[in-house]
Amino acid sequence: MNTALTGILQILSPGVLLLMLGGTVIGLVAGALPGISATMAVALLVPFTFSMPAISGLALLGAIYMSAIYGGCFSAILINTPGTPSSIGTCFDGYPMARQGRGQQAIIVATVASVLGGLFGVAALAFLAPPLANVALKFGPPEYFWVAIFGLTIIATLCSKSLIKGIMGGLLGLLISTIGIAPIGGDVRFTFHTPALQGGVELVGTLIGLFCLPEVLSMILDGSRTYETVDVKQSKGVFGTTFRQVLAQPMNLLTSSVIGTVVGIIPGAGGSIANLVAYNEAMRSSKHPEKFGTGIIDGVIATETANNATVGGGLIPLLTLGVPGTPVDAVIYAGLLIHGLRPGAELFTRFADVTYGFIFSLFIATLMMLPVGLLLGTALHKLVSKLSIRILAPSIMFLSIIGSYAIRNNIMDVWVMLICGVIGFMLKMLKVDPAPVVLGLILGPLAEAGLVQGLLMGRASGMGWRLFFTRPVSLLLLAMSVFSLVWPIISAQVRKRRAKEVGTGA
Amino acid sequence: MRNSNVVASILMLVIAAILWPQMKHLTYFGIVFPRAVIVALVAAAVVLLVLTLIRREAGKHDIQAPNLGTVAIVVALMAVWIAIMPWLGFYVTSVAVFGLLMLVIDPSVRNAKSFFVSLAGVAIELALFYVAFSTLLEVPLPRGILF
Repeated sequence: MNTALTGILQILSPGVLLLMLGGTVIGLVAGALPGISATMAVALLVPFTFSMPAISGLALLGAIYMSAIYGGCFSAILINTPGTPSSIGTCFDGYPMARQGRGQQAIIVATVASVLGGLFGVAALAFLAPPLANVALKFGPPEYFWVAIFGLTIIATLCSKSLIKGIMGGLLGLLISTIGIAPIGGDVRFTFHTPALQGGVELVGTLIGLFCLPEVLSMILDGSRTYETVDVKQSKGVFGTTFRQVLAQPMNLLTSSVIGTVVGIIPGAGGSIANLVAYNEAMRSSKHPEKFGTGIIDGVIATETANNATVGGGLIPLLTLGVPGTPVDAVIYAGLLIHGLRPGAELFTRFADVTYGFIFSLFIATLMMLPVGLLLGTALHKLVSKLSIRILAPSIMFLSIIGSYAIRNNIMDVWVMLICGVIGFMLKMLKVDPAPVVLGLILGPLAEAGLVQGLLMGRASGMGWRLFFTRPVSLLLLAMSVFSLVWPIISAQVRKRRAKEVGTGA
Repeated sequence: MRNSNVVASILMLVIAAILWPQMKHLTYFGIVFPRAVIVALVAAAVVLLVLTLIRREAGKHDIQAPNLGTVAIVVALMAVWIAIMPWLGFYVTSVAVFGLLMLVIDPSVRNAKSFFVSLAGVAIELALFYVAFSTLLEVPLPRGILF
């Protein structure tokens, strides 16, 4: 308890608070820029935290993450283009509100909802992660193997339009993770006689390559885009009235927060799915569903509450099991690794100061969004939306190069970043989502260590392969993996049959 | 051949074909995981290919690739950036390649004055990053023969 308190007190030091304020502004700018996702923003800035103390670095990343998810609402409301995929649903009602001259109200609603959703997700993280980490202590290698497989199957299913392409992406990520020295046995694999690859591919550089370069290249392909921003008139007294209007919808806030947190926990889903699920649910349970899409605050509350609640939710499986809940969490995972922190029960015991400090920093960062978003949000959005692609794209490339170099001061890592970027761009053209590749890359070591250690255990006990199919938790995880693979096929068949029935009936 | 399913399947099969012979001299514990992954990758690629052929979707062109020449030039410039950075120096290379990238990305900038004003701004931006990394974050950036 005292250790946790030490971490919390460290967060309250002026230096760390200032760093988080900077992170909130950076996240807001990144989120407000269409084309720059939260994943990209955090990936580009992970290397900046390298020389910082772990707690400061993670607090900075957490602030950027939370704020970037929120920042997406500005372009959704003001230009009808979501700044991040997490704000797609905000366009439906936020933009009509802005067109009706209620832009200020829409931004206040989005801000308050984001803060409340963010706080709910972080509270869930604070209360659910420690007991879950204790449960994870009871897991042996076979269970960890199945956790990795379950994570991969669900990610492959959720992230891609094509199930097989999602699986192929995940498998490709697993293969990339095997480059270098084998965890057990010490074999050198797939290095093509390049000594620099013996330590494996450097995670941050690979993530920057896979997540950032394809987006920049697409940005260049699309050419310069111009947006028509709706003007926001500032009026006095709107905040108080709007704040009360938001609080007058407790069920919408609660349901959307729960949806966001649960979707965040499911590996691979994230804010892009949560905001749409919450919007649908708010519409379904509303007394006036016909008004959705015309500019009512209910829709904005649902989407913005849910997307920020995914932040805390997504960190639960990451911190306890090492399975990232969302693509941004995959980058946070890399951030943990560069500070020598491995997800699992140890984070809540040996490194409790850093972990609880990090969780507390998310609370503070969420609260910071309120003044920063309301005072600077609109002005920052206006400023950055004028930024030309000819400056923006090379700037991101520059950050990609410096970021991938900074981790080990090794030029080979920069080459790996470029190669991964080209691969990521090719995969994007082939409609293979990069998220399963990255998650495969992260889950690969967990899956391989679980498999090989499980096999050794099986040999020692005389059970061999059967060990993976006899333990109760293993069987449960296996069943969940099979279900997540089979479910999309079944649901597609059901949809087809229903469509056929409707067609026949008509 | 511009069907994403066909190209993705072939690409995965090529990757598997390149990596399979590399496992010749590995021990059991070194090979067990990657071998399983490669087998699964080949199986997934074959299933996708067969399904695409059965559904007669192979002729459906769904790969949108306009302006790939610009992308190729940008990637080549990035490769040049990385290759000469240790030799010429991080800052000088970055400013030079940044300038070239601006011209490639937005060729409409024909006005020399506007280009050099932008480049001066970029030089300041990169200098700030250079100082931040080399002094505040203590990352020794390649100095080369210049800096």
